[in-house]
Amino acid sequence: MRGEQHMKSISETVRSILDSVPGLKAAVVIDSDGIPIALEGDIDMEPEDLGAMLASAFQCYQALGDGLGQFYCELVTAEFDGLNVAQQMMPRGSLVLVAEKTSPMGVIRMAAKNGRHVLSEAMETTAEARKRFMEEHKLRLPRTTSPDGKQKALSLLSFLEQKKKKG
Amino acid sequence: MKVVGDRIYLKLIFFGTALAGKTTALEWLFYHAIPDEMKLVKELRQVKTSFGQTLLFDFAPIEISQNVVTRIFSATGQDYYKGTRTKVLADSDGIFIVIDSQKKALERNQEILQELWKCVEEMDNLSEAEIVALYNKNDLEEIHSMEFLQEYLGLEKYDGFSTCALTGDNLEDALIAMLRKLTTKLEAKGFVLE
Repeated sequence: MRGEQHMKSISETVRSILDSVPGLKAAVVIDSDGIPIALEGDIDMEPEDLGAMLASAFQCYQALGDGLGQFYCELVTAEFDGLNVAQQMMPRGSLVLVAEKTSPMGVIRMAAKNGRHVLSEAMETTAEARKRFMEEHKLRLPRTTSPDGKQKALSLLSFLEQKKKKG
Repeated sequence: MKVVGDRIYLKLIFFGTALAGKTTALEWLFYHAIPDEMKLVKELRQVKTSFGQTLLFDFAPIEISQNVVTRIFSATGQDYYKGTRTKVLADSDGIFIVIDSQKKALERNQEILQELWKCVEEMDNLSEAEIVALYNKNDLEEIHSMEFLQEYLGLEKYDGFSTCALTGDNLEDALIAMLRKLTTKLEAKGFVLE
């Protein structure tokens, strides 16, 4: 009899990857355009900034692979002076693991490959982790006072138009 | 355009020849026009060549309203790296075409526009992108007028602004024009901007 399967949220899954591999500093899931879906751990970059860089780098490798007659790029690794990074392709994005330099690259690579299988399933069926992530990363926007006296967030368009009127 | 959770992600791109002023325009807007509270990064992310020109892109994500993030890119203008340029252009919701108004740049402007229209034809969704033209370097001597360039380059149907990216002349107006177009489009699709 098949055991009961528990679907984890994306964030829980990413957290469990982070906790299970010694030396991992952060685990990030981004979609194919670099929009961050989940981020666990300690990383000194804004999520959107990180996502854009990672997606662009991966796309460049994918383009290189196209030029070399390859079908798709599975995984990209990078070894920096203080960190090792592995970016594993997933159906609609990628899983990125950032590790201490002392962590063997082979271990990080395997963790990324294994993480892909677990995450692909979670991403199919779970949306609440994304929503929570978006909420946590919302900034405080400039406020304006509406006619009924309530404070509301100002859009960039309104901000610029008001600035223009003031001259 | 992408919807992730309760957020809408848009993509804007500055596109034009090398040294047209794309990066300078984005820098000016980022550091002078957009309030800090709306910036999702403290500094522009820039991937440059060893001589300071854009190699891959410049990038800044901006929260333009409560639930809308606009990711603004400036593509490389150098032909050597043009393979990456089309990657950066893909899925753009708005394109600022940056025209170098100098007389000597006329042919290069034509060539880059041909490349752009080819991408618009071949890439999914790019034909729906909003376009605003910036006729840049209006502070220089040997330049064509905006009216001449609009006609010569076939850009009459797009909103155009005579700009100077160094001083920011008319850049805010151009950004307002683009944001209005994007807001109208989002509202037409039923998205409520908070």
